[in-house]
Amino acid sequence: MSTGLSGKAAIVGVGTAGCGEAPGFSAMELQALAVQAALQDAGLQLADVDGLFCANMSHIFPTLSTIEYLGLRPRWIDGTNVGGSSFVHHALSATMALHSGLCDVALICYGANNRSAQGRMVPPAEQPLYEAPHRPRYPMVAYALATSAHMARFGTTREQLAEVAVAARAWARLNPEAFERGPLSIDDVLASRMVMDPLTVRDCCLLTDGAGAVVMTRADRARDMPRPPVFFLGGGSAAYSRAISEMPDLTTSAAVDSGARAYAMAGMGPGEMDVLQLYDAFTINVILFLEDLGFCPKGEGGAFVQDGRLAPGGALPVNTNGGGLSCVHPGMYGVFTLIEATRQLRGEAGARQVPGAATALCHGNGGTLSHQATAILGTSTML
Amino acid sequence: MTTSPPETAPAIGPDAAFRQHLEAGRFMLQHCADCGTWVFQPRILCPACGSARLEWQSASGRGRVHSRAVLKQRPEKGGDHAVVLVDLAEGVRMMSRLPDTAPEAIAIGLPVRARILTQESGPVVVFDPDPEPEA
Repeated sequence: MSTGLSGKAAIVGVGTAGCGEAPGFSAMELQALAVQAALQDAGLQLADVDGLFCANMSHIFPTLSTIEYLGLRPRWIDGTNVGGSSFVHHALSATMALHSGLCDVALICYGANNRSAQGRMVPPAEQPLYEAPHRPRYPMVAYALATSAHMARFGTTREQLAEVAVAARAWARLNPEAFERGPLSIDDVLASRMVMDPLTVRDCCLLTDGAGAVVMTRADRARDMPRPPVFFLGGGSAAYSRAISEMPDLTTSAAVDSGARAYAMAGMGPGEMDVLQLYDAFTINVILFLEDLGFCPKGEGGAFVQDGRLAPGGALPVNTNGGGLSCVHPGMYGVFTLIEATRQLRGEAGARQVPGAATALCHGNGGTLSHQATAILGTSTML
Repeated sequence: MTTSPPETAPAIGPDAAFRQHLEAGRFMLQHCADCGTWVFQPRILCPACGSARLEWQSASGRGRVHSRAVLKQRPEKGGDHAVVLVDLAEGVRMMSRLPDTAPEAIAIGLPVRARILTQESGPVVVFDPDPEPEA
């Protein structure tokens, strides 16, 4: 069934702030800096924003605190919080709100200062009732359980997982904004400290500060904006559970459904995606999502990523900013998939630019493989 | 026209009931009287069919390790800590641990038997390797 949403809205501005280390700044301050950058990029003012979409882990009511702090009077508010995937989900709901006239300028934003403020990932206070008594260390434990299951069932190896981290680092080395830019080899990953067997510290995302913001308008208005619009072609959202112990199959995520919904809306398939931004909280994520989103059969993700396929110069460019593994991960990474995809589709990604990229798939993961959101973006040539 | 009979709410919620059973030394699971699905975590409604007719029945206590993860820690911080997902014979999965088994001896597929351990937060279901697993 056609939703009539494909191509009806576009990203017209993106901005980041404080990516890496930003001591002395609060989450709300970093978010405001990213919003300022995104609005400047779009040639718009704060007063133009009449739709707000945000989520975070630091505020009980992220939208209300953001409205107050920025002095907004939005006509439409969506604070859906499904974890780090929220912002990819927001891109779909912003398109709905714009298309239906609930708002004219949609702002999607996020900011966090976990690295400078706490020095560690701060898990939410409320955790699954029947898991908590066994002292699981979230979120790592969930991804280690999924990794163990994938290894046992399909023979996926630690070397194959390491390929994901090495490819991310190779892209990060081309991105001046990336936090970790030193060389990294498969052997380096295998020799790094084991933190949650079978995951080493290099299989785990960074913990940085950082903020990101995205501005969207309806497609007709987007054509008059200063930067080339990046059109929203399709999106999907899916979840079956929250806790890892309730996940129906540890080796298959709800990305199967979010991806299918996004492809259907866009009228496209995996073979037509020029560049992928997949939420890589842990190396297993990329392998799972490549399988679940149809880039290779279930169970073959390990072999698929070998020999640098995802790295610069490889056949399938994945996480061209360096991803959550090497670029930025302030706790909820999803908004950065939209930002990097936009930069790639505008052709402004510098040394890491994928030549001629006209389509991008952004995939957000929320909770502990709990929620999945997929968005397909494209240049005007794809309409 | 038919009308459904009014459902009778349980005397206490299933979370409290599960815990009371554990405190009395019984590991019980809910079983759906309408569709036959075994249910864990404890619920008001069967997640398979929506029925409110969930009945407590004794768990077999038999299962296998579905997956495992080991937090690596220095001995002074408590040492390595293994967490498992166990698939019970009834078909439900639960997070747990094997308190008396070395982490390196916990392999996926290992047959296990449940026991009730009382810890500071209350009684919990934990597991030991099963010396006499069913085929």
